[in-house]
Amino acid sequence: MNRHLQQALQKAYKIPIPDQQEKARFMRTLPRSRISTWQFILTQIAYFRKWTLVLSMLFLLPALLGARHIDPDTLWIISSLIPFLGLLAVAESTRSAVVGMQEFEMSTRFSLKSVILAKMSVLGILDILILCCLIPLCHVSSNISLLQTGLYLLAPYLLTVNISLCLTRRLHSGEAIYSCMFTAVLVSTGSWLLHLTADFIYQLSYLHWWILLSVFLTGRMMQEIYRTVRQTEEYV
Amino acid sequence: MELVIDRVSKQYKNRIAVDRISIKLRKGVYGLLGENGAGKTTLMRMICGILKPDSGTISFDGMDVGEEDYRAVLGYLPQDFGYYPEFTGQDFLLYMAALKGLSKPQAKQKAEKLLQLVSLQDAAAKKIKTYSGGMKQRLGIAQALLGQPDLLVLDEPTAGLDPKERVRFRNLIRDLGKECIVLLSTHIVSDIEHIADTVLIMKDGQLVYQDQWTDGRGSLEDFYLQHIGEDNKQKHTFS
Repeated sequence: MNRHLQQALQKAYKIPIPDQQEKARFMRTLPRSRISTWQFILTQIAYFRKWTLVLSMLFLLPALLGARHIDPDTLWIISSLIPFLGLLAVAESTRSAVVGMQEFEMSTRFSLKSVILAKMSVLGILDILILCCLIPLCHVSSNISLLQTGLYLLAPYLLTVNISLCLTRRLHSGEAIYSCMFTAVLVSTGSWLLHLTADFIYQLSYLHWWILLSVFLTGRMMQEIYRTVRQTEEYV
Repeated sequence: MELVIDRVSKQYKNRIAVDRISIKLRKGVYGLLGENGAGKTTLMRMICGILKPDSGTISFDGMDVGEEDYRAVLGYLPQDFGYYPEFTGQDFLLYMAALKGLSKPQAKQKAEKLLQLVSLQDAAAKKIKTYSGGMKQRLGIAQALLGQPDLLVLDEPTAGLDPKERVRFRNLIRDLGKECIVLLSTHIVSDIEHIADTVLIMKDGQLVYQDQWTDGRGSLEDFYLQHIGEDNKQKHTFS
Protein backbone atom coordinates (compact mmCIF):
# COMPACT_ATOMS: atom_id res chain seq x y z
CA MET A 1 0.00 0.00 0.00
CA ASN A 2 1.14 3.52 -0.73
CA ARG A 3 2.98 4.88 2.32
CA HIS A 4 1.22 8.25 2.17
CA LEU A 5 -2.15 6.59 1.89
CA GLN A 6 -1.28 4.36 4.85
CA GLN A 7 -0.33 7.40 6.97
CA ALA A 8 -3.46 9.26 5.90
CA LEU A 9 -5.61 6.30 6.89
CA GLN A 10 -3.87 6.08 10.25
CA LYS A 11 -4.61 9.76 10.86
CA ALA A 12 -8.22 9.51 9.72
CA TYR A 13 -9.06 6.30 11.55
CA LYS A 14 -8.36 5.91 15.22
CA ILE A 15 -7.85 2.27 16.19
CA PRO A 16 -10.15 1.47 19.12
CA ILE A 17 -8.56 0.04 22.26
CA PRO A 18 -9.90 -3.52 22.63
CA ASP A 19 -12.13 -4.20 25.59
CA GLN A 20 -10.48 -7.20 27.27
CA GLN A 21 -13.76 -8.65 28.52
CA GLU A 22 -15.40 -8.28 25.12
CA LYS A 23 -12.34 -9.85 23.56
CA ALA A 24 -12.54 -12.79 25.98
CA ARG A 25 -16.26 -13.14 25.23
CA PHE A 26 -15.54 -13.16 21.50
CA MET A 27 -12.71 -15.69 21.88
CA ARG A 28 -15.08 -17.96 23.77
CA THR A 29 -17.45 -18.05 20.79
CA LEU A 30 -14.73 -19.25 18.42
CA PRO A 31 -14.68 -23.00 17.74
CA ARG A 32 -11.99 -24.69 19.82
CA SER A 33 -9.46 -26.66 17.81
CA ARG A 34 -8.47 -29.84 19.52
CA ILE A 35 -5.84 -32.49 19.01
CA SER A 36 -6.83 -35.98 17.88
CA THR A 37 -6.29 -39.13 19.93
CA TRP A 38 -3.23 -40.03 17.82
CA GLN A 39 -1.70 -36.62 18.40
CA PHE A 40 -2.39 -37.05 22.11
CA ILE A 41 -0.60 -40.42 22.18
CA LEU A 42 2.40 -38.87 20.42
CA THR A 43 2.53 -35.95 22.88
CA GLN A 44 2.67 -38.45 25.73
CA ILE A 45 6.03 -39.77 24.47
CA ALA A 46 7.57 -36.37 25.18
CA TYR A 47 6.58 -36.69 28.84
CA PHE A 48 8.14 -40.10 29.50
CA ARG A 49 11.07 -40.02 31.86
CA LYS A 50 14.17 -40.01 29.68
CA TRP A 51 15.92 -42.62 31.78
CA THR A 52 13.02 -45.07 31.30
CA LEU A 53 13.65 -44.97 27.56
CA VAL A 54 17.46 -45.00 27.93
CA LEU A 55 17.45 -47.91 30.40
CA SER A 56 15.04 -49.86 28.18
CA MET A 57 17.39 -49.42 25.22
CA LEU A 58 20.38 -50.46 27.37
CA PHE A 59 18.96 -53.99 27.48
CA LEU A 60 20.23 -54.40 23.93
CA LEU A 61 23.84 -53.85 25.02
CA PRO A 62 24.58 -57.23 26.72
CA ALA A 63 22.76 -59.01 23.89
CA LEU A 64 24.89 -57.23 21.29
CA LEU A 65 28.09 -58.06 23.21
CA GLY A 66 26.98 -61.68 23.66
CA ALA A 67 26.14 -62.06 19.98
CA ARG A 68 29.50 -60.60 19.01
CA HIS A 69 31.49 -62.94 21.24
CA ILE A 70 29.10 -65.92 20.67
CA ASP A 71 28.66 -66.44 24.41
CA PRO A 72 26.11 -69.27 25.05
CA ASP A 73 25.21 -67.74 28.45
CA THR A 74 23.87 -64.57 26.79
CA LEU A 75 20.33 -65.95 26.61
CA TRP A 76 20.30 -66.78 30.33
CA ILE A 77 21.78 -63.42 31.29
CA ILE A 78 19.20 -61.57 29.21
CA SER A 79 16.42 -63.86 30.46
CA SER A 80 17.25 -62.92 34.05
CA LEU A 81 17.54 -59.22 33.19
CA ILE A 82 14.31 -59.02 31.19
CA PRO A 83 12.01 -58.75 34.27
CA PHE A 84 13.49 -55.28 34.81
CA LEU A 85 12.31 -54.23 31.35
CA GLY A 86 8.78 -55.17 32.44
CA LEU A 87 9.29 -53.30 35.71
CA LEU A 88 10.28 -50.12 33.84
CA ALA A 89 7.15 -50.28 31.69
CA VAL A 90 4.79 -50.82 34.63
CA ALA A 91 6.48 -48.15 36.78
CA GLU A 92 6.21 -45.54 34.01
CA SER A 93 2.62 -46.41 33.12
CA THR A 94 1.32 -46.19 36.67
CA ARG A 95 3.37 -43.18 37.78
CA SER A 96 0.39 -40.81 38.11
CA ALA A 97 -0.75 -42.53 41.29
CA VAL A 98 2.74 -42.45 42.82
CA VAL A 99 3.17 -38.68 42.40
CA GLY A 100 -0.49 -37.77 43.02
CA MET A 101 -1.31 -36.43 39.56
CA GLN A 102 -4.44 -38.59 39.10
CA GLU A 103 -6.79 -35.94 40.45
CA PHE A 104 -5.78 -33.60 37.61
CA GLU A 105 -5.64 -36.33 35.00
CA MET A 106 -9.08 -37.67 35.84
CA SER A 107 -10.83 -34.37 35.14
CA THR A 108 -9.39 -33.58 31.71
CA ARG A 109 -10.70 -34.34 28.21
CA PHE A 110 -8.14 -37.12 27.75
CA SER A 111 -8.62 -38.59 31.18
CA LEU A 112 -6.45 -40.85 33.31
CA LYS A 113 -7.53 -44.02 31.53
CA SER A 114 -6.41 -42.47 28.21
CA VAL A 115 -3.08 -41.46 29.78
CA ILE A 116 -2.48 -44.96 31.15
CA LEU A 117 -3.55 -46.65 27.91
CA ALA A 118 -1.37 -44.30 25.85
CA LYS A 119 1.65 -44.96 28.07
CA MET A 120 1.07 -48.71 28.11
CA SER A 121 0.66 -48.80 24.33
CA VAL A 122 3.81 -46.80 23.61
CA LEU A 123 5.94 -48.69 26.15
CA GLY A 124 4.42 -52.01 25.03
CA ILE A 125 5.41 -51.31 21.42
CA LEU A 126 8.90 -50.23 22.56
CA ASP A 127 9.31 -53.43 24.59
CA ILE A 128 8.09 -55.57 21.67
CA LEU A 129 10.67 -53.88 19.42
CA ILE A 130 13.41 -54.48 22.01
CA LEU A 131 12.34 -58.13 22.33
CA CYS A 132 12.33 -58.44 18.54
CA CYS A 133 15.97 -57.33 18.56
CA LEU A 134 16.95 -59.40 21.60
CA ILE A 135 15.50 -62.71 20.35
CA PRO A 136 17.65 -63.01 17.18
CA LEU A 137 20.72 -61.68 19.02
CA CYS A 138 20.34 -64.31 21.76
CA HIS A 139 19.55 -66.95 19.15
CA VAL A 140 22.82 -66.20 17.36
CA SER A 141 24.89 -66.67 20.51
CA SER A 142 23.10 -69.78 21.84
CA ASN A 143 22.39 -73.12 20.23
CA ILE A 144 18.65 -72.85 20.76
CA SER A 145 15.90 -72.39 18.20
CA LEU A 146 14.38 -68.95 17.57
CA LEU A 147 11.00 -70.01 19.02
CA GLN A 148 12.54 -71.37 22.23
CA THR A 149 14.72 -68.27 22.62
CA GLY A 150 11.63 -66.09 22.25
CA LEU A 151 9.65 -68.09 24.81
CA TYR A 152 12.48 -68.09 27.38
CA LEU A 153 12.69 -64.30 27.15
CA LEU A 154 8.97 -63.65 26.96
CA ALA A 155 7.91 -65.77 29.96
CA PRO A 156 9.86 -63.90 32.70
CA TYR A 157 8.88 -60.56 31.12
CA LEU A 158 5.18 -61.44 31.11
CA LEU A 159 5.32 -62.92 34.60
CA THR A 160 6.84 -59.70 36.03
CA VAL A 161 4.35 -57.47 34.21
CA ASN A 162 1.42 -59.60 35.40
CA ILE A 163 2.42 -59.61 39.07
CA SER A 164 3.42 -55.92 39.00
CA LEU A 165 0.11 -54.81 37.48
CA CYS A 166 -1.75 -56.86 40.05
CA LEU A 167 0.29 -55.26 42.86
CA THR A 168 -0.21 -51.68 41.59
CA ARG A 169 -3.95 -52.31 41.61
CA ARG A 170 -4.02 -53.64 45.13
CA LEU A 171 -1.38 -51.64 46.99
CA HIS A 172 -0.88 -47.96 47.63
CA SER A 173 1.44 -46.06 45.33
CA GLY A 174 4.75 -46.12 47.27
CA GLU A 175 4.35 -49.68 48.54
CA ALA A 176 3.37 -50.86 45.06
CA ILE A 177 6.59 -49.63 43.46
CA TYR A 178 8.79 -51.34 46.06
CA SER A 179 6.73 -54.52 45.71
CA CYS A 180 7.14 -54.40 41.92
CA MET A 181 10.93 -54.00 42.35
CA PHE A 182 10.95 -56.98 44.69
CA THR A 183 8.93 -58.98 42.15
CA ALA A 184 11.39 -58.16 39.37
CA VAL A 185 14.33 -59.23 41.56
CA LEU A 186 12.50 -62.43 42.51
CA VAL A 187 11.62 -63.37 38.91
CA SER A 188 15.13 -62.48 37.78
CA THR A 189 16.77 -64.63 40.48
CA GLY A 190 14.28 -67.43 39.86
CA SER A 191 15.01 -67.39 36.16
CA TRP A 192 18.75 -67.67 36.77
CA LEU A 193 18.39 -70.38 39.43
CA LEU A 194 16.08 -72.37 37.17
CA HIS A 195 18.73 -72.34 34.48
CA LEU A 196 21.37 -73.54 36.97
CA THR A 197 19.37 -76.17 38.85
CA ALA A 198 16.59 -77.39 36.53
CA ASP A 199 18.17 -77.15 33.11
CA PHE A 200 16.01 -80.03 31.82
CA ILE A 201 12.90 -77.78 31.55
CA TYR A 202 14.61 -75.95 28.71
CA GLN A 203 14.77 -79.11 26.61
CA LEU A 204 12.70 -79.41 23.42
CA SER A 205 10.32 -81.93 25.08
CA TYR A 206 9.05 -79.16 27.37
CA LEU A 207 8.44 -76.69 24.55
CA HIS A 208 4.64 -77.11 24.59
CA TRP A 209 4.59 -76.17 28.31
CA TRP A 210 6.50 -72.97 27.56
CA ILE A 211 4.08 -72.16 24.74
CA LEU A 212 1.11 -72.76 27.06
CA LEU A 213 2.68 -70.67 29.81
CA SER A 214 3.36 -67.76 27.45
CA VAL A 215 -0.17 -67.85 26.00
CA PHE A 216 -1.65 -68.00 29.50
CA LEU A 217 0.50 -65.10 30.74
CA THR A 218 -0.35 -63.01 27.67
CA GLY A 219 -4.07 -63.57 28.30
CA ARG A 220 -3.64 -62.73 31.98
CA MET A 221 -1.72 -59.57 31.11
CA MET A 222 -4.58 -58.37 28.89
CA GLN A 223 -6.96 -59.05 31.76
CA GLU A 224 -4.69 -57.19 34.23
CA ILE A 225 -4.46 -54.18 31.88
CA TYR A 226 -8.26 -54.13 31.57
CA ARG A 227 -8.68 -54.33 35.35
CA THR A 228 -6.05 -51.63 35.94
CA VAL A 229 -7.78 -49.25 33.54
CA ARG A 230 -11.19 -50.04 35.02
CA GLN A 231 -9.96 -49.37 38.51
CA THR A 232 -8.37 -46.01 37.71
CA GLU A 233 -11.69 -44.26 37.16
CA GLU A 234 -15.25 -44.83 38.17
CA TYR A 235 -16.33 -43.63 34.72
CA VAL A 236 -14.86 -46.28 32.39
CA MET B 1 -24.85 -22.25 30.20
CA GLU B 2 -26.36 -24.43 32.91
CA LEU B 3 -25.05 -27.12 35.22
CA VAL B 4 -27.82 -29.39 36.41
CA ILE B 5 -27.26 -31.56 39.46
CA ASP B 6 -30.28 -33.80 39.88
CA ARG B 7 -30.84 -35.87 43.05
CA VAL B 8 -27.18 -36.82 43.33
CA SER B 9 -26.10 -39.16 46.14
CA LYS B 10 -22.86 -40.85 47.12
CA GLN B 11 -22.30 -43.32 49.89
CA TYR B 12 -19.05 -44.68 51.36
CA LYS B 13 -19.75 -47.96 53.14
CA ASN B 14 -22.08 -46.90 55.99
CA ARG B 15 -21.69 -43.15 55.58
CA ILE B 16 -23.72 -41.01 53.18
CA ALA B 17 -21.30 -38.38 51.91
CA VAL B 18 -23.73 -36.62 49.57
CA ASP B 19 -27.45 -37.02 50.08
CA ARG B 20 -29.87 -36.34 47.20
CA ILE B 21 -28.55 -32.93 46.19
CA SER B 22 -30.40 -31.09 43.43
CA ILE B 23 -29.37 -27.69 42.16
CA LYS B 24 -29.09 -25.72 38.92
CA LEU B 25 -26.09 -23.46 38.48
CA ARG B 26 -25.91 -20.69 35.89
CA LYS B 27 -23.20 -18.12 35.11
CA GLY B 28 -21.80 -16.68 38.32
CA VAL B 29 -19.70 -17.47 41.37
CA TYR B 30 -21.08 -20.04 43.82
CA GLY B 31 -19.41 -20.31 47.21
CA LEU B 32 -19.70 -23.68 48.89
CA LEU B 33 -19.36 -23.71 52.66
CA GLY B 34 -19.49 -26.55 55.13
CA GLU B 35 -17.58 -28.26 57.87
CA ASN B 36 -14.92 -30.89 57.24
CA GLY B 37 -16.72 -34.04 56.15
CA ALA B 38 -19.88 -32.20 55.09
CA GLY B 39 -19.50 -33.64 51.58
CA LYS B 40 -18.14 -30.58 49.73
CA THR B 41 -15.16 -32.31 48.16
CA THR B 42 -17.20 -35.41 47.28
CA LEU B 43 -19.77 -33.23 45.53
CA MET B 44 -17.05 -31.34 43.68
CA ARG B 45 -15.32 -34.56 42.64
CA MET B 46 -18.62 -35.85 41.29
CA ILE B 47 -19.15 -32.63 39.34
CA CYS B 48 -15.69 -33.14 37.84
CA GLY B 49 -16.39 -36.74 36.87
CA ILE B 50 -13.80 -38.18 39.24
CA LEU B 51 -16.41 -39.96 41.32
CA LYS B 52 -19.54 -41.54 39.90
CA PRO B 53 -22.73 -40.79 41.84
CA ASP B 54 -24.52 -43.81 43.29
CA SER B 55 -27.72 -42.22 42.06
CA GLY B 56 -28.76 -39.05 40.26
CA THR B 57 -27.33 -37.23 37.27
CA ILE B 58 -25.00 -34.32 36.57
CA SER B 59 -25.06 -32.56 33.21
CA PHE B 60 -23.79 -29.37 31.66
CA ASP B 61 -25.85 -27.96 28.78
CA GLY B 62 -27.21 -31.44 28.16
CA MET B 63 -23.80 -33.16 28.23
CA ASP B 64 -23.50 -35.90 30.82
CA VAL B 65 -20.60 -35.70 33.29
CA GLY B 66 -19.13 -38.94 31.89
CA GLU B 67 -18.80 -37.52 28.38
CA GLU B 68 -15.55 -36.27 26.89
CA ASP B 69 -17.25 -33.03 25.75
CA TYR B 70 -18.25 -32.27 29.33
CA ARG B 71 -14.65 -32.60 30.52
CA ALA B 72 -13.49 -30.42 27.65
CA VAL B 73 -15.32 -27.43 29.15
CA LEU B 74 -14.24 -28.16 32.70
CA GLY B 75 -11.47 -26.56 34.75
CA TYR B 76 -10.68 -28.15 38.11
CA LEU B 77 -8.38 -27.28 40.98
CA PRO B 78 -8.26 -30.12 43.51
CA GLN B 79 -7.65 -29.59 47.21
CA ASP B 80 -4.58 -31.82 47.31
CA PHE B 81 -2.50 -32.53 44.30
CA GLY B 82 0.92 -33.74 43.23
CA TYR B 83 3.01 -33.24 40.12
CA TYR B 84 5.71 -35.06 38.21
CA PRO B 85 8.91 -34.02 40.01
CA GLU B 86 10.94 -33.46 36.85
CA PHE B 87 8.39 -30.96 35.50
CA THR B 88 9.00 -27.24 35.35
CA GLY B 89 6.03 -24.89 35.74
CA GLN B 90 5.81 -24.52 31.99
CA ASP B 91 6.10 -28.29 31.36
CA PHE B 92 3.25 -28.83 33.77
CA LEU B 93 0.97 -26.39 31.97
CA LEU B 94 1.90 -27.80 28.55
CA TYR B 95 1.24 -31.33 29.80
CA MET B 96 -2.15 -30.35 31.21
CA ALA B 97 -2.94 -28.48 27.98
CA ALA B 98 -2.24 -31.68 26.01
CA LEU B 99 -4.61 -33.60 28.30
CA LYS B 100 -7.21 -30.91 27.70
CA GLY B 101 -6.76 -31.43 23.97
CA LEU B 102 -5.08 -28.12 23.10
CA SER B 103 -2.73 -28.06 20.12
CA LYS B 104 0.95 -27.31 20.83
CA PRO B 105 0.99 -23.70 19.53
CA GLN B 106 -2.25 -22.94 21.36
CA ALA B 107 -0.90 -24.55 24.52
CA LYS B 108 2.35 -22.56 24.43
CA GLN B 109 0.52 -19.28 23.93
CA LYS B 110 -2.02 -20.02 26.65
CA ALA B 111 0.62 -21.28 29.11
CA GLU B 112 2.65 -18.12 28.67
CA LYS B 113 -0.39 -15.90 29.32
CA LEU B 114 -1.48 -17.89 32.34
CA LEU B 115 1.98 -17.94 33.87
CA GLN B 116 1.93 -14.18 33.59
CA LEU B 117 -1.55 -14.01 35.09
CA VAL B 118 -0.46 -15.95 38.17
CA SER B 119 2.88 -14.08 38.38
CA LEU B 120 4.98 -17.17 37.71
CA GLN B 121 6.59 -16.06 34.45
CA ASP B 122 10.01 -15.73 36.11
CA ALA B 123 9.74 -19.18 37.67
CA ALA B 124 8.32 -20.88 34.54
CA ALA B 125 11.58 -22.68 33.75
CA LYS B 126 12.19 -23.76 37.35
CA LYS B 127 11.25 -27.23 38.58
CA ILE B 128 7.99 -27.39 40.54
CA LYS B 129 9.77 -29.14 43.42
CA THR B 130 11.57 -25.85 44.08
CA TYR B 131 8.26 -23.91 44.28
CA SER B 132 6.75 -22.72 47.55
CA GLY B 133 3.24 -23.85 48.58
CA GLY B 134 1.71 -20.60 47.31
CA MET B 135 3.49 -20.90 43.96
CA LYS B 136 2.21 -24.46 43.53
CA GLN B 137 -1.29 -23.28 44.33
CA ARG B 138 -1.01 -20.49 41.74
CA LEU B 139 0.21 -23.02 39.19
CA GLY B 140 -2.79 -25.19 40.05
CA ILE B 141 -5.11 -22.24 39.43
CA ALA B 142 -3.37 -21.56 36.11
CA GLN B 143 -3.93 -25.13 34.88
CA ALA B 144 -7.61 -24.90 35.81
CA LEU B 145 -7.92 -21.92 33.47
CA LEU B 146 -6.37 -23.69 30.48
CA GLY B 147 -8.72 -24.17 27.55
CA GLN B 148 -11.19 -21.43 28.53
CA PRO B 149 -13.42 -23.53 30.80
CA ASP B 150 -17.15 -22.86 30.97
CA LEU B 151 -17.33 -24.65 34.28
CA LEU B 152 -14.68 -23.94 36.88
CA VAL B 153 -14.52 -26.01 40.06
CA LEU B 154 -12.07 -24.75 42.66
CA ASP B 155 -11.49 -26.62 45.89
CA GLU B 156 -9.81 -24.30 48.41
CA PRO B 157 -8.27 -22.05 45.72
CA THR B 158 -6.85 -19.45 48.09
CA ALA B 159 -5.24 -21.92 50.52
CA GLY B 160 -1.55 -21.14 50.92
CA LEU B 161 -1.72 -17.77 49.19
CA ASP B 162 -0.45 -14.64 50.92
CA PRO B 163 -3.05 -11.91 51.67
CA LYS B 164 -2.08 -9.82 48.63
CA GLU B 165 -2.34 -12.78 46.28
CA ARG B 166 -5.61 -13.83 47.89
CA VAL B 167 -7.19 -10.48 47.10
CA ARG B 168 -5.84 -10.68 43.54
CA PHE B 169 -7.32 -14.14 43.06
CA ARG B 170 -10.62 -13.12 44.57
CA ASN B 171 -10.87 -10.44 41.88
CA LEU B 172 -9.83 -12.87 39.20
CA ILE B 173 -12.47 -15.39 40.28
CA ARG B 174 -15.09 -12.63 40.38
CA ASP B 175 -14.21 -11.66 36.79
CA LEU B 176 -14.32 -15.30 35.68
CA GLY B 177 -17.80 -15.59 37.18
CA LYS B 178 -19.05 -13.09 34.62
CA GLU B 179 -18.17 -15.49 31.81
CA CYS B 180 -18.64 -18.94 33.27
CA ILE B 181 -19.93 -20.98 36.19
CA VAL B 182 -17.48 -20.91 39.09
CA LEU B 183 -18.02 -23.23 42.03
CA LEU B 184 -15.57 -22.71 44.84
CA SER B 185 -15.24 -24.30 48.19
CA THR B 186 -13.27 -22.76 51.02
CA HIS B 187 -13.03 -22.55 54.78
CA ILE B 188 -12.35 -18.83 54.53
CA VAL B 189 -15.84 -17.38 54.85
CA SER B 190 -14.67 -13.86 54.02
CA ASP B 191 -13.47 -15.06 50.59
CA ILE B 192 -16.98 -16.25 49.77
CA GLU B 193 -18.52 -13.12 51.27
CA HIS B 194 -16.45 -10.98 48.91
CA ILE B 195 -16.82 -12.85 45.65
CA ALA B 196 -19.72 -15.31 45.64
CA ASP B 197 -23.00 -14.30 44.04
CA THR B 198 -24.69 -17.28 45.63
CA VAL B 199 -23.85 -19.02 48.86
CA LEU B 200 -24.35 -22.77 49.26
CA ILE B 201 -24.04 -24.41 52.67
CA MET B 202 -23.65 -28.16 53.08
CA LYS B 203 -24.20 -30.13 56.24
CA ASP B 204 -24.12 -33.93 56.63
CA GLY B 205 -24.16 -34.42 52.87
CA GLN B 206 -27.18 -32.19 52.30
CA LEU B 207 -27.52 -28.73 50.89
CA VAL B 208 -29.06 -26.84 53.80
CA TYR B 209 -28.88 -23.34 52.32
CA GLN B 210 -28.71 -21.80 48.87
CA ASP B 211 -29.35 -18.15 48.20
CA GLN B 212 -27.76 -14.95 47.00
CA TRP B 213 -25.73 -13.05 49.55
CA THR B 214 -25.89 -9.27 49.59
CA ASP B 215 -23.87 -6.82 51.69
CA GLY B 216 -26.95 -5.65 53.59
CA ARG B 217 -27.49 -9.07 55.13
CA GLY B 218 -24.78 -8.74 57.75
CA SER B 219 -21.95 -11.11 58.51
CA LEU B 220 -21.90 -14.31 56.48
CA GLU B 221 -19.69 -15.93 59.11
CA ASP B 222 -22.36 -15.49 61.83
CA PHE B 223 -25.04 -16.71 59.47
CA TYR B 224 -22.93 -19.73 58.53
CA LEU B 225 -22.26 -20.63 62.17
CA GLN B 226 -25.98 -20.42 62.89
CA HIS B 227 -26.70 -22.76 60.01
CA ILE B 228 -24.23 -25.46 60.90
CA GLY B 229 -25.75 -25.77 64.35
CA GLU B 230 -25.15 -24.85 67.95
CA ASP B 231 -22.82 -27.79 68.70
CA ASN B 232 -20.60 -26.91 65.82
CA LYS B 233 -20.75 -23.23 66.71
CA GLN B 234 -19.10 -24.06 70.01
CA LYS B 235 -16.54 -26.18 68.21
CA HIS B 236 -15.69 -23.27 65.90
CA THR B 237 -15.53 -20.77 68.76
CA PHE B 238 -13.10 -22.86 70.75
CA SER B 239 -10.90 -23.88 67.82
